[in-house]
Amino acid sequence: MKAQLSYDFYFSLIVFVIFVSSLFFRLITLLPFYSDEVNVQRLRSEAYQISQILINDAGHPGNWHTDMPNAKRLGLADETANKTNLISRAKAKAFNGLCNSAPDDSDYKKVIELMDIKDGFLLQLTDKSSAPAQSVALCSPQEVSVKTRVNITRIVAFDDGAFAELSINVWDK
Amino acid sequence: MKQKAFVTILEMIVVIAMLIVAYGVFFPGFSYQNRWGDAFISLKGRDLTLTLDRTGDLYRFSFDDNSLRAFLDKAVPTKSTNLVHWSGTSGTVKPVVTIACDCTEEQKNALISWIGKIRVNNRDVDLDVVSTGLDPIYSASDVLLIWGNKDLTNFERNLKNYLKSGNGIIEIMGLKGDLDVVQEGIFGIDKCGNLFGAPSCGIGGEKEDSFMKPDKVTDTIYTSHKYFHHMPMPVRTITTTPIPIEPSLDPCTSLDTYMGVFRIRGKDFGFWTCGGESAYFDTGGSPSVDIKLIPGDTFSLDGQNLLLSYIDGNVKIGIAFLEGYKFKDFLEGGVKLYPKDRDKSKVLLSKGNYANSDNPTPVVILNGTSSNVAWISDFTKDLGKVDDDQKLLLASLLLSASDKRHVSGLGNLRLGHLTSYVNVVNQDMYEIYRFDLGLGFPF
Repeated sequence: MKAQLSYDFYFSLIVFVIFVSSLFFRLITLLPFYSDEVNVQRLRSEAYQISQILINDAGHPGNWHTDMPNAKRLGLADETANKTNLISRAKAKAFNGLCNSAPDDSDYKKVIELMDIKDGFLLQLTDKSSAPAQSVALCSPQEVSVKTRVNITRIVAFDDGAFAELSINVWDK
Repeated sequence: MKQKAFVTILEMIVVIAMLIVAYGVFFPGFSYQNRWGDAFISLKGRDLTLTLDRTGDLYRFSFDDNSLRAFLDKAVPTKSTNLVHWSGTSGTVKPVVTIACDCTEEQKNALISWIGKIRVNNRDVDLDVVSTGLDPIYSASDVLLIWGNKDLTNFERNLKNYLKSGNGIIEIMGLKGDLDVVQEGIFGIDKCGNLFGAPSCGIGGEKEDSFMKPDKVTDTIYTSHKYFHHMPMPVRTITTTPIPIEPSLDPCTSLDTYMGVFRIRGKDFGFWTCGGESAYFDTGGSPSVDIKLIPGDTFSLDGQNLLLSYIDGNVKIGIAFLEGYKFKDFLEGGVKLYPKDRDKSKVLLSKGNYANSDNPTPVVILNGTSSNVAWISDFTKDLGKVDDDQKLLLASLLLSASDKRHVSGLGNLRLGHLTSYVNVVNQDMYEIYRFDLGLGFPF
C-alpha cells in the first residue's frame, strides 16, 4: 500500500505537466511574434516618413535637379508651388536618372546616402492619369535578400496636371 | 467503494474543465492589434483629396460622381483593393435639386420650362420638379413650392416637420384675404394694417421693385440676394434666322446664327447667337441689332445693367443681372404685408415704401435664419408672359431655400474614414463649400 501511488496522483501529475508546458510554450512563442510585429510597425513608420519627405520636401538645394553634383538632400516637391502632394515631373525624372545612371549599385547607394536610409529602399513612381499607366521613376538595388518588407503607396499630383502613385518599399536585411 | 471511485473521477473531470476555462480566461490567445488599416485609408483619403485639388479637378469631381469614380478606379483600383468610396458636398446647391411643387400640372410644366436647368460657376444644376400635396409632402425633395392661395391651417405639423429636415418652403401667393395662423407663424408675415395701423400702410406710386441690400452675410436675405445677382439666367434660342445687323456693327462671319427672346420688365428683346461665340442684341429703338457681345461683356437693356455670362453653343446664353437691378413692379394690388417681427431686413424686394411711413412695401419676404422660407407676390397670372428676371428671382429663392447637404454612395461600412476639404470657387458667384470623401472597407 505504501509503495503504491494512486491513479489520482498520476492523473493530477499529467494535468499539471500539460498545463505548465502549455503555458511555457505559449510564452516562448509570444516574444518573437511580438518583436516581429513591432519591427513591421517601425518599417511602416519609416516608409511613411520617406514618402512624406519625397512628396512634401523640395530637397536641398530646392533646384537640385538642375544642379545634381551639389545635391545635399533629395525631395520631389515642386519648389515653386510649395504645396503638399504636388511634385515636380522634372525632379522625378532627375531622381530616376540619378538612381539608374551606373551599371552597378553605386548610383543607388548614392541615393540612399542622400536620403539617409540604412537598409535600402525601393521607389516606384507611376503616372496613372495616362492609359496604360507609365513608370516615371524606378529606384531599387540590383539584388536584395530581405527578412521583412513593407510597402506604402501614396497618391500625388504632378505639376503638369497629371497624377501618380508613389510606392515605397523598405525592409530589414 | 464503487461509489467513492465514481466521485473521484467526477471531481477530476470537473477540475480539468475548470482548469481549461481558467487557462482560457487568464491566458487568452495573443493577437497584435495595430490600427494600420485605419491609418491606411485615412492617409489615402487625404492624399486623394489633395491630389484632386492640386490637379484642379476637385471642383468638377465634387459634383460629378461618375468622374470621381473614374478617377478613383485609376488611383486606387477599388476592385483589387476592396475599397469603396462615397462623397458629398455641403454648404452649396446640390447637382440635382428636387422641387416638390404643390401646384397644377400646367404650373409644374411652366416651372420646368423656365428653370429646369441652370448653370452656375460653370456647373449645371438640374431642378427636378415633382408634384406633391401638403399631406403628405414629398419627403425626398429639397424645397417645397406652394403655388396659389391655400389655407395652410391643417398642414402646420407637416410643414414644420418638412422644415426640420433641412428643407425650405417658398410660397407664391396673392394673399388678398386674411392670413391664417400657419402663414403668419411659418412665413413670419402679417398684414401691415395689423402691425402699424391702416393709415401707415397706403401703397405708394412706385412703378419699380428694388432690392434691399444685405449688410452682412448673416442677414436673412443675403443668400437669395447673392444668387439673383450672380447666377446667370439661361435663355434658350428658338430658331435659326439671319442676323439683322446694323451696318456699323462687326458682321457675324458664321452661318450658325440662332435667334431667341430675352424678356425683362415686360419687354421683349431679341438676340442672336453667332457661331456659339458671340451674341448680338437688339436693345430696342431700331429694327436691327445694335450691340455685339462676347462672354464677360456688360451691357444695358431698358436702363438695367446686365452681363453676358456664357454662350452655350447655339442652344442658350446666360445673362446675369448686376447690382442695382429693378423689376417692373409685380406686387399684386391690395397685398399689404410686412415681416411679423417688424424686421425690415427680411424684405428682399420692395415696391418703395408704404405711404406716410419709411417701412418698405414688401414684394418678397424671407423668414428663418438661413432664408429657407419665403413668400413672393404672385407674378404668374399669365404663365406665358412671365419675365426672365422673375423666373430667375424664383430660381434664386428656391435654390437659397433648398437643402444643401448632398451625399452620394453608401455609409454603413465595417471600417471607414471621411476626409473633409473646404473648397472655394468664384466664376459667376463666390461659393465656399465642403467636400467630403469617404473611403472604407465593406468586409
